[in-house]
Amino acid sequence: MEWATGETPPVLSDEALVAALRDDPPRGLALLYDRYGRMVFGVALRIVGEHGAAEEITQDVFLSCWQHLDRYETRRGSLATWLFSIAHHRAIDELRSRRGSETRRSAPFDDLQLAVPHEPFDEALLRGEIRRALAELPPAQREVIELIYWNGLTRREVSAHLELPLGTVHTRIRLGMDKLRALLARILGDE
Amino acid sequence: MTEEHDNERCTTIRANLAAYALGDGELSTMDQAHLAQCAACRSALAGYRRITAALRLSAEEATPPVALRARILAAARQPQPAPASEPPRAPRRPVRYAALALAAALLIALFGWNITLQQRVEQQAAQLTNSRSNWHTLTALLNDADVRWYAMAGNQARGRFWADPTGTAACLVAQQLPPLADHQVYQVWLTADRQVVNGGTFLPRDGDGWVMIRSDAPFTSYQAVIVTIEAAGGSAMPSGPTVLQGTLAQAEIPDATLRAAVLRAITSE
Repeated sequence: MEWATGETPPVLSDEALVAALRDDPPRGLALLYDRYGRMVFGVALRIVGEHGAAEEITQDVFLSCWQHLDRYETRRGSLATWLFSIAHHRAIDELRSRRGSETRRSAPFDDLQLAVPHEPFDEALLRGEIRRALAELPPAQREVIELIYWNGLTRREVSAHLELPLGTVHTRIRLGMDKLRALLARILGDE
Repeated sequence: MTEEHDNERCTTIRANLAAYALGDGELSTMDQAHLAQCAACRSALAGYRRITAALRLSAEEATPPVALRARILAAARQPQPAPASEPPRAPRRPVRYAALALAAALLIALFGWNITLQQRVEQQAAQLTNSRSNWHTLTALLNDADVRWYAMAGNQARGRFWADPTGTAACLVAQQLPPLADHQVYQVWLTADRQVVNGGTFLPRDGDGWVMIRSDAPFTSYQAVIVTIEAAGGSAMPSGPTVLQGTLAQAEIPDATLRAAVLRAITSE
């Protein structure tokens, strides 16, 4: 946790940001970008791995968010989660388009918006738990999970990429996801 | 219809469910039929979805070029064409119609499943409401012109207790807390003369943590705040070692930069 002081963006709730976007779009968009620009750019860069494309995606995400603000439902999740789901979807589409793969895979975006950490944990605390859990996974299991989630590969594409039997890919996905469930059961409220 | 559980079939399907939750592919009719009959696999799918939702937090933030901000704001000032790509909405999963006889049988099972799912959604909505309520309270508190902070210290820990002295909502932010054993929590206490009031429990991450505290009486009624280590679930009275304490006598006035920095520290690493 960093306690450095310096110039920081105004502290606004999601409701205040949405209100600013509706009432004064240029100011609202600037505030939204100042708050979440690093997150969206980070997600895009992680997926497409190239600065130019990540910038383009980041621009699309913020403009799309602003243009479709009426689709954001505060009761279903934070602005951060909504922006992430748009960025993830857009970046995976970009990646798959480059590979000539079919775009627009199904993605559980409804669940992304519903997922919330337990009290008194919040996202900042959950982030560390997720990273620790991923680090505990056997590398072979972590690799197949990340290839699907962050690289947008299908299981068959993972099988070809890693030169593994499809059955092995299935086994690694299941074991890896089951281990993540076990490691994060307490914090995610999994039973 | 009774719940069926076939370990071999479940093992096979779990890989499909996990991949589906990660965004790869659709569920086959057979998978959907199995889900309708197998509570264990439904629970597994819900767990996989929670994992998938949380995976976003494994991405590192990155600093975009300075010019990007100006480009986005300039683009927003231009007349906007119809968007080329729609933002994601809840996906409409293709309905795969099985034989009518199977559908009729599954209907009964699905009814029970829907109830379970509805309960899950309501639980998550309640958690979300609680989380958002805390967040809004914290935001309002840090933006309150009357907010003050009080220094807290321990052998190794330090912290700040943020409150409007005449209000009833406060936030305790702590750093460098000593590690907890399994089944232990930190518990906050407000003290006044011979009275000790429970302020709630919290768990830190890497020694840092924060908790919202709501009091029935204004904080001017209390003299000190202490944090002790207690058994999971909390105690009725302080019984463990004190790791952090501070009096409510010396109020410090924060500037806007400090308020924003605290909020930023809480919401990022």
